[in-house]
Amino acid sequence: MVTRSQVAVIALLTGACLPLQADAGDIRPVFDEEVARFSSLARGPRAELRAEAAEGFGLMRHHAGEESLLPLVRDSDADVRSVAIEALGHCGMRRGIAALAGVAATGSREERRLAHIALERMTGTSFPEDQPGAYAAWLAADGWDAKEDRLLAAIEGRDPGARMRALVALRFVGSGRAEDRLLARAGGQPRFNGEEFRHAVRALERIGSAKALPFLAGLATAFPDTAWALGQIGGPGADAALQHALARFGSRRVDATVNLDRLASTNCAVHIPMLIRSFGFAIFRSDTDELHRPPHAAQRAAANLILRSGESQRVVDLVLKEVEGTRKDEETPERWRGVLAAMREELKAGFWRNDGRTEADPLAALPHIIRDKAFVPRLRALLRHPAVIVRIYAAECLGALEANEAIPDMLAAIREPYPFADEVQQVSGKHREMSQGVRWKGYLCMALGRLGGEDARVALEVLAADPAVPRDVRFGAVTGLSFIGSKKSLPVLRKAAGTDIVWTIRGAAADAAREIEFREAADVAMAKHE
Amino acid sequence: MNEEGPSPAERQGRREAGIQKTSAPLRLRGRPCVAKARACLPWAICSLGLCVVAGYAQAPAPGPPSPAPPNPLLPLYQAAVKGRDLGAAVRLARSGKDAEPLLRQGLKHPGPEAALFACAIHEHPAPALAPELRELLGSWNQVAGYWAAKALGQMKDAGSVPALAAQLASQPNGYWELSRGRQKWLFNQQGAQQFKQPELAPQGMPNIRVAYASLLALGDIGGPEAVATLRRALQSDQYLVRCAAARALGQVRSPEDLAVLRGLAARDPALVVRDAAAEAASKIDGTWSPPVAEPPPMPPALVFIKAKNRSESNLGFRDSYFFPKTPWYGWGENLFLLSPVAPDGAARNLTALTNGAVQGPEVSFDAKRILFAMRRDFAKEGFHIFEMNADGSGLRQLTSGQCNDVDPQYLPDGRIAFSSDRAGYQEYYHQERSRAIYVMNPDGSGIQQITFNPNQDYEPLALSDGRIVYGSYRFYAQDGSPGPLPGDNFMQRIETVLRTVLPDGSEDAPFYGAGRGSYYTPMRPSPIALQYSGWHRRGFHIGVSISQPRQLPDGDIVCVTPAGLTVIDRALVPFDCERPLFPEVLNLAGGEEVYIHNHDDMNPVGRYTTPYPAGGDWVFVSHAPWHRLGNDAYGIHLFNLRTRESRPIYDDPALSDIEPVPLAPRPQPAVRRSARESSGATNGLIYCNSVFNSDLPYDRGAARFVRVLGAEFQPASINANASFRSRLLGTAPLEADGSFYFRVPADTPLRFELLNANEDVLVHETEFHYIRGGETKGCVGCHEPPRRTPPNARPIAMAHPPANALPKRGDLIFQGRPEHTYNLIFRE
Repeated sequence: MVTRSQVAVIALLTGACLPLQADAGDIRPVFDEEVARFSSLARGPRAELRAEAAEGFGLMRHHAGEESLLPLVRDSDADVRSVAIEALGHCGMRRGIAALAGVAATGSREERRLAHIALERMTGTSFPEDQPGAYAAWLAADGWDAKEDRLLAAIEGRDPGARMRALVALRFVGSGRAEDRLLARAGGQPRFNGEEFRHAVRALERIGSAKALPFLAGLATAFPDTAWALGQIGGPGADAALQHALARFGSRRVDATVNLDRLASTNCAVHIPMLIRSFGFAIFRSDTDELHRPPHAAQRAAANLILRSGESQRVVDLVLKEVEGTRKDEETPERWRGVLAAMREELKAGFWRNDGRTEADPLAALPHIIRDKAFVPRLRALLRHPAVIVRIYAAECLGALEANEAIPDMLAAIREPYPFADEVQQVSGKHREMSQGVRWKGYLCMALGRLGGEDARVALEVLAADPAVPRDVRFGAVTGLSFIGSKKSLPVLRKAAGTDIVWTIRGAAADAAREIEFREAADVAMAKHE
Repeated sequence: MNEEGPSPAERQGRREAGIQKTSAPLRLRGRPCVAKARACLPWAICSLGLCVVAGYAQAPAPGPPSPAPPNPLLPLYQAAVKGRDLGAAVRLARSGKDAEPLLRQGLKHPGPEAALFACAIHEHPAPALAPELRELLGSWNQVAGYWAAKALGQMKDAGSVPALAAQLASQPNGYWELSRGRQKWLFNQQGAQQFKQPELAPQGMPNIRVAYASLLALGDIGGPEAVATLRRALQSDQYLVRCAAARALGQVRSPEDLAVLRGLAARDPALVVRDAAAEAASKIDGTWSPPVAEPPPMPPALVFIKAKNRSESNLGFRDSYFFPKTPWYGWGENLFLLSPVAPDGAARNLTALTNGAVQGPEVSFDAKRILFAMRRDFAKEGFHIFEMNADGSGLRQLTSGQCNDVDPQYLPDGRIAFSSDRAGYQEYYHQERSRAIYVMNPDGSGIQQITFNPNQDYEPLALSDGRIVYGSYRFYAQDGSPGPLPGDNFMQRIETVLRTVLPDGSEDAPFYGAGRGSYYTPMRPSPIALQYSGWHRRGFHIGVSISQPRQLPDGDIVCVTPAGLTVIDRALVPFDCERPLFPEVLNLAGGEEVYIHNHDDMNPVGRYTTPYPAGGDWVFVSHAPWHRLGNDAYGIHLFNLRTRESRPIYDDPALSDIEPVPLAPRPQPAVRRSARESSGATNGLIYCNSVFNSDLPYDRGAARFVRVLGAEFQPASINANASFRSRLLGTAPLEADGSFYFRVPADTPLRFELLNANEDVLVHETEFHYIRGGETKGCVGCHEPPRRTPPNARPIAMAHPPANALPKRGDLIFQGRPEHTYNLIFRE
């Protein structure tokens, strides 16, 4: 049995936090979740956790990470220090610069070099690498206001190289007192080029206030980066500008969706035709919904926006009706009709996939936004839908709803053999009528893993250990067991890791076992730490 | 007509044509047939050649109708046209003057059949038909033009010199090379419609293959104008043209050309031209000695496969493009033993399968055992590796399980290499099961995977020095990642190249093929190629397909390339090392269509597949002639790689005969030991001397970081033309000398990026590498010029501990570009 503390640790470690059934007000923004997760991991007792935190903050490049990263640049673990130094070079501000100046003076060779490159970027000032104390001396030479003033002067100057360096550095060195001069210069002549605008926006993300909103709103549809400044400053004006950005850039880039989610926007109903197509799709090559991985940031943010719009229940109902062939246009918002009607081609019996495009991708939104167990009977019926892709996402929805009553149906579908021997049929071929060899039952195993619980675990362990079932089912079973994360599965996973004929299944089983063991150990270590 | 009289088909044709056994003029429905009648005849009848005869015997007899005289040659003509029968055309050409009207009409045939008659006239010259042959030089039908040029050369028709000389383009890149329908196409414009916007060749533009044959013909004819043309041709920007001109001047043997030819032999950038010029120079200075043409002694027997349907994939790895419902791997229905090795030899079925398949036969070094892959039951079993004694007895199964094991090869240490889909990941083009290279003990135990390419590896072969050469299918940037430089977007280049590896999987390295796309496509990509993706502005780099490597006695490699059968000079690899046996078929596989057989209708030499060394310059090879390219058309030939002489060995007219392997002892390759420090390690070391050793035009001063990306194998995927995932493994500062040094995970496809101080990408590597546990691997540079010697200095990075680039919890995983993240919030 998984303990409550284990559940908490698993959620913390995976970041795979689908919102539970709750009111829109209870939905926590993905950005906040990630910051909280990394902040917590940064205090973790094991180096792997602290390194994960440092890397996560470094990729976000957000100053919310500075506080957590400051101690990590002096961590006892060398790998943690390296990752943290690089991350602080993107997330740090004045305190970060000071910390890195110290590393540049006293760190190991690799750390000094990493800190040196970061400080060049952060200060707009270069020193030879063989002068380890140069940045500390630069720091001590005068105050921050003077440094900030020099950057502003460079921004207002005519040297394009110095201007660019200063714009980059202002993000790290600047303070609120620089906002007016930066806005004045950004709106003045000679006009900034695109890259200069981009860095001005990045600086305003850290030093800007509501005064910057008109300027930022004007750039929201030109530079995706602007979304982060708008998300930082917030307010109705920012929300409105982000709506434009979302319409302009779509939801595949996370900038607009994550920041609208960060503002807990409830105004995205208008974007639902787009948002429900922003989850990827298992049969779509350009944006594949990888069901063997946890939900990713863009999916989580888009789901939050749909949930907060108050339309999620209707979206689920209408998509399911489209799949069931019962949807009526008069009950469908006009702007949704086209998207839903376009699904039909891919819902036909025997359809496998298109080449290079997809239409039925609203199905992929359902597992992320479905909250009502009243849908379970309809979903169970869809496990036998003529189109395979429907069966896959129906199972995913049942998994998301933790619908234990559907386990027999799912297992029956899994156990029913393919109409061919696994090794004599090409896996897929290309598309449409050439793809009859598509293996889909493994995805149902993954859905069982999302569904969780003892029944699902036991069933998956049987499948994972059976060399006679097709390899996609064995892989799906191992993956499902990794989702469940029970130490009871360790014997089966270890056996699969040692004996399965397929290398990737052995690897997936070994990874799953290692992760369960790590979580167990981390749980213990975390408890001691706390 | 055959000697025994008309065949049933011929008789049927006569009935359809209304041919009577009388001497009366040809009639239709009781009326005399005249040339004008063509307009009112159904095309089906015209196409039988009826109107040809009407035109030929068009004078209507005055007075009452009388039976037309029989035309004894008409059935031959009909057989040639209707049956696409070159033999009939040749017999017709052999018939002398009486056949000339039919041959003339044949040369004017609107369809591809004109090529048959031109080829037949090349066999049996008919000088009176020179005007019609000259007409063909400018035809849309380049195979007809090719054979017309060769026929004119054979006739030594001086009057044809101006027409032949006109095939030399007056402008750089001034040839068309491919056609669609009856239009000469150059290439497609890139645009919203992508490859649906053809650009047609200008009026009068010569064809590259016809030009090649024309220049050779000029060499046969000789004379001042011909020689002057050939000398001009030596200056051509097209190496195929220079090659032909050099060969032709070798025929002319004028001492005046000696110096130029020697210069060409020394300095031309294309090996095939240097070879031709050297041979021509030696012919002129009298030092030339013709190659020994005597074939080696025949082995006691030949193992081969009979196949009902031998098609050729365009990707070299024999799968996928024809959308087979079952794994293909180039199989046939049964394994045979031919003995003696002669056209009248007896072929004995060794496997006697009624619903199975066999693949990839190989004979042990002592010729006592035969190794092959077999599916005994087509409906239930995958391919597995089997071995039998040389006489067919003692069949034993070496592998089993829910997988396909193919391409078995003996290794010199007694083990066996093979390829298998038991790796379990799916290549990211069509999501087929990837094959990887494996080794196992002679009894099938101890199976170990030794290659780790996220696409496919296959066709391992033990080289004489102990390395394994194998075919590796690579798809660059299909995942939507950038090309090598910012702006080189969506390159999506497909290549099948040769790589080498030691039997323990270490020292995996490119051998031949990478970067040779522009060699095989010297002018333009194919009209149906996705040019926007198959090439890019840096050198028009286009994918290649290299497969079926075999090592010749002198160490060179014979293989199948986009130019068909090709010898690779082992001393010159990886660049400028190719000797295509038929260079005139270059670029029949341009662009995305990377296999020659996609342009069979433009192929004047036919298909060659599955070569195997037979001794000296000779190979056994399966060949389907250009005029009969059906999938049952392959027969086994003994082929001379220097003279192009071909001697038929065996041909079952109902089946393709492929994969000939002599049942004879052969030298055992050297045994190579592992260079790995520890085979149990889970990571290894990789370094680069300097990223500044590169032909890529990027700002060296801006490079500050190296980023290591790992490819995630695709264990589950149900989309097409999709993508793999990259994992960001680590970043480290670049050293001042451009060196880097990383500890990286073993058995993981890796690639590198150069970043500037803001960690923006300067260079993105599109190739993958991997190392084995405990291995240390290094490189000189990134896209370094091939002949550059690295400085004799220890890279700075090697003086310090390696930076770690190992998988970690929470690594960023993304598709193509990091902003399309799949697990974390990522900001550029």
